[in-house]
Amino acid sequence: MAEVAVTRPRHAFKFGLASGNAGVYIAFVVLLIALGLAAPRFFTVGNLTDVLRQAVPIAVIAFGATFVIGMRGIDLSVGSTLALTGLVTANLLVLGYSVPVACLAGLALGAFIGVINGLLITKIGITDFIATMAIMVVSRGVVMVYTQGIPITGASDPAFRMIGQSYLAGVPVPVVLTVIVFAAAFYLLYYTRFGRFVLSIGSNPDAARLVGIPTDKVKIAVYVLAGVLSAFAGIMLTSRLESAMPEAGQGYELDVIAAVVIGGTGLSGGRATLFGTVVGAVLMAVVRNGLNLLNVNTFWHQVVIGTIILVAVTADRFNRSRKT
Amino acid sequence: MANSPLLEMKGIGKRFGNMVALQGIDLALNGGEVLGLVGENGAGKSTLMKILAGAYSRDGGTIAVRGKEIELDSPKAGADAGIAIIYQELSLFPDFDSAENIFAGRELRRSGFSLAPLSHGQMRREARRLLSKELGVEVAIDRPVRELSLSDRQMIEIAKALNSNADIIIMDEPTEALEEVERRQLFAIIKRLQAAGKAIIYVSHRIKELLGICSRVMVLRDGRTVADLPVADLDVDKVVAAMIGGALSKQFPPRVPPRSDPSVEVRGLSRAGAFDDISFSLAKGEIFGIAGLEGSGKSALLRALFGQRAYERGTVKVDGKDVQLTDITDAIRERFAFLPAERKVEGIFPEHSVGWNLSIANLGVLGKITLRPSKEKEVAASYISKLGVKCDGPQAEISSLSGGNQQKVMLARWLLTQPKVLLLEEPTRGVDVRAKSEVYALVQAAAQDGCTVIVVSADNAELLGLCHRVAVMFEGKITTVVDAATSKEETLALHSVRPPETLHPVGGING
Repeated sequence: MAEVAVTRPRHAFKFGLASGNAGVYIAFVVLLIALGLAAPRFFTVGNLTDVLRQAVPIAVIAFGATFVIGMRGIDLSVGSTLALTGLVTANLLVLGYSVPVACLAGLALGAFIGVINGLLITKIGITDFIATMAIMVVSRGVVMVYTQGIPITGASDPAFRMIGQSYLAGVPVPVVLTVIVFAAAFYLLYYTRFGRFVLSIGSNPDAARLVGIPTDKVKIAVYVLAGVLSAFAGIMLTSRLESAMPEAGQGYELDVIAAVVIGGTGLSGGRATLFGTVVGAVLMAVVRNGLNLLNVNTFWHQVVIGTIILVAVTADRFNRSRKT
Repeated sequence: MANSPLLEMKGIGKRFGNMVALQGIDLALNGGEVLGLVGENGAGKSTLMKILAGAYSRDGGTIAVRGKEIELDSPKAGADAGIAIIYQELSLFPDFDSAENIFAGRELRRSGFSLAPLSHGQMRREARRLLSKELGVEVAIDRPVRELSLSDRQMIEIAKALNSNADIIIMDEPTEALEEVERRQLFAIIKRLQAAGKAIIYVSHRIKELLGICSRVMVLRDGRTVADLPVADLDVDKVVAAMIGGALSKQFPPRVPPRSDPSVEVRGLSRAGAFDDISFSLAKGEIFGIAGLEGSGKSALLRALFGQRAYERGTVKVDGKDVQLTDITDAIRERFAFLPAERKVEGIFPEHSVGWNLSIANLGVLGKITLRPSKEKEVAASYISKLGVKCDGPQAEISSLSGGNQQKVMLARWLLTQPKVLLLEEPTRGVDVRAKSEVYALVQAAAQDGCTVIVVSADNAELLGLCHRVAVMFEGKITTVVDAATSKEETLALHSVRPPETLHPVGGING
């Protein structure tokens, strides 16, 4: 009925920006100003570089998660994938394989984990939450069995170290790589058939099937994308540390979901904002960094991050209830 | 109490932001009356009913029940005042059985103590009594309602209303999804309720039907009452004229004969438990209707032709060439297009714009690899004007459009793929009078361009008005094919419930 169009709550906020959660952009700017005033050291080149470097792994994985969540899916296995692929890459390097071989093997493993996730969800019909949680636990288990909990060190090939430790025109290479991945993901999500298929499935899976979208294939491809990007983050992290930590990426799955959600991509799917995801990922790094600069006990960080998630999602709800 | 009507609404007004939804509506209703409420989409019917049910607050006016003024500030207040509303989208708990649904929120307990265990046996007995004694229908008591037919679920809604001692029952488009037989059953029940002194407000787009069961009809237009007359003074044309504020040009466009070249040939199509040995051949430009009850296999057949659940035996030829329709991708490759009945569930992408919704089935037109937003705007704008879609341009959110305009976008989505075969399932369900005739004109225009159209509908008048030929399905088989121009609704209705072999030979058009 046409009345639907006018049954809007009276107190709906309108933030103006079409995509994403404009509230978070505003909050982000306010936060930056506040931190600049409270901790003068915040706005130093060294500190800002640190912030970005910390945001990089979460951001790269969150780009993939933006596709997954935009498709109304969830992927809890990303943190373990990061650890397992980082481990494989480091181990191959230590065994003397060349840098390209080691990196490609890591990426291929990420893709493989994505395929497994996708097949479990589409062909076997396990809920995404359960399927990826199981894979998360299994992958982490494999890492622990293989390393016996001891880091694999010695991935110090100079070419490999370049990935995570060098600078390009003063900008850390991981940041440059992240920007490139962002641009590619942006193109893929908003300017290709694939991106439309992903958001269509998230918006209305039945309708997506009826317009001829190969929904199973698209879903598998999205989990592969998530796996590959997790592997990519794993390689960057391994390169920075010159070693693979068995507990690397632990808890990342939640940080990644937080970044995506803070950015304004709702868990109900259909809409996704990659810009928002960047802001979400950087915002979390800024908050952690700022709390460190202000000498706040690390235990408080979780309280603050959790509160930010609640505020972001609440703002998003007000924003969205205007539309439905 | 003696002289005051059961329900009296006076000067009801409601605004949404700057938009006046209702203005100065007066409505009086006595026990034993059936009031028809009609109006185009957006005229304010649903708003008025939601105010009466306590779901919306009103901005002005008074409401009195049995002469006593009441505040209606919540759905609970509505229920306490004896007002029950049966919404178009039925609001039962799908996993609960009918007894649990009828008693939802007012469960019976073994004693007055509020933590006492529920008395399931007593609730079942009472539910059975309500359904079979008061309504005279047989509905399974102990199965989850998701397994029941739509009409059974509606009966449960009505039983629920009776169980809450409602005196005023509002039915919002109750027959929209019902088959002929079920509709008759509903009308019989309305008569029973009427005889029992209940007042009923019946909201519907089906004016002819409405005139058959109501005692009075109230017509809303742009939030005002434009007519409130006893049914004896009205006919379909008068009501429609009042609704749209002028005479409507003919609802169905004049028929254009199909071309002579064959297009679709279906031979011996079968799927166990759904349809059996279906054969027909259609010409280019032909509009072919399929009538039948829910469960007769008509929708299953239509969806099988779109590859959604494939047929097991039989062949389909398009333009003389055998085609395989094992999944939807196949069907789309053969340039089949399918408009599902449940637009909200299977059609629209609610988060997205008109342009997005329109182009999704044929993204190739937006660019080979890179989709160009400018192209999307251009394509959408051209279809918006060609099909007369009322919206704020290609960027408008699809969910801001009325049902009729959404349906036009769904049609445009498939016309963009230049289909050879257009499969329509209930193409005008939930669409208002004016938009209906526009949809018919669009379907006919597509046929005129050489597209073969197959229409499945529960509305026999629609099938006869729109199609060239209409087949009737009964228990999975096509039992009759009639010429639409010379047949009557009664013929289709009759053949839907009784295979015609026992009455007269196939092709019979007597009625």
